[in-house]
Amino acid sequence: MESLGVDSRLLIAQIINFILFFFIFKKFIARPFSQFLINQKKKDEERDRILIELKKKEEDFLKEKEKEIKRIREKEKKMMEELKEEIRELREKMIAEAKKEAEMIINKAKIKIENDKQKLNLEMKKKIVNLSLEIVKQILSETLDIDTQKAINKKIIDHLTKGSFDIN
Amino acid sequence: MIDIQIKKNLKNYLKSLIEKEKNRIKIISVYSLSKEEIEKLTKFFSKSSAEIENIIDPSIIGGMIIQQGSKIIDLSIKNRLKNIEKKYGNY
Repeated sequence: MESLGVDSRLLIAQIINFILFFFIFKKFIARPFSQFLINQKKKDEERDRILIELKKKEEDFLKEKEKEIKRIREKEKKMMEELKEEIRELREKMIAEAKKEAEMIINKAKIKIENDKQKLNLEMKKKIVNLSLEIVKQILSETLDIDTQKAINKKIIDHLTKGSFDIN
Repeated sequence: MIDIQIKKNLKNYLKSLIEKEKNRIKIISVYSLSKEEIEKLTKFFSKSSAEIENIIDPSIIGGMIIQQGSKIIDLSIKNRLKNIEKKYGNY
């Protein structure tokens, strides 16, 4: 070995040195580092799991929210339809009432017009009769001379004496 | 209270007034009635004692109104016209 230029003692010392270094490295550096890596990996896995879980929860929440929105919209739509129906019924009712009232007013007006017409006709007839009688009175007053008056009285007296009138 | 005698006297007085009024005949006409007409009317009433009063009223237009006591015979043209008015003029 020495002829090859290799110092055996140095080689042994270096081997021992390497073995020592190997053990020290393994015990104080490699193992904690490895443990640290494992822990780190576990933490990463835990984080990923939590993240997935959160994502799932978020998705569930979004789905639930969407469902709720859909349900509210349907309810809203139904309420709107009901409201529209109520408004339509109310409008029809109001129109019917207004029509009825209008008919009633028209009928009342017709009756009033008819009554007024009849009243006016009667009034007119009455006035015509009264006016005619006034004219007759006037004409008779002016045209009945004394002979005619005497003739009338004679007729009356004749009737009285014949017994057509009885005062007693 | 009214005394019975006063009551009786009052009754007799009223009776005599009524009798007097019965004998009094009012004839309302447009012109003054002639004697002949009045005589005929007196015969009609068959009361020679009747007192006939002729009242002139041109407003009756024609005919005559005879009033004896509370009884009235209206034979005037005015009354005829009034009846027509009642029949056709007052609805």
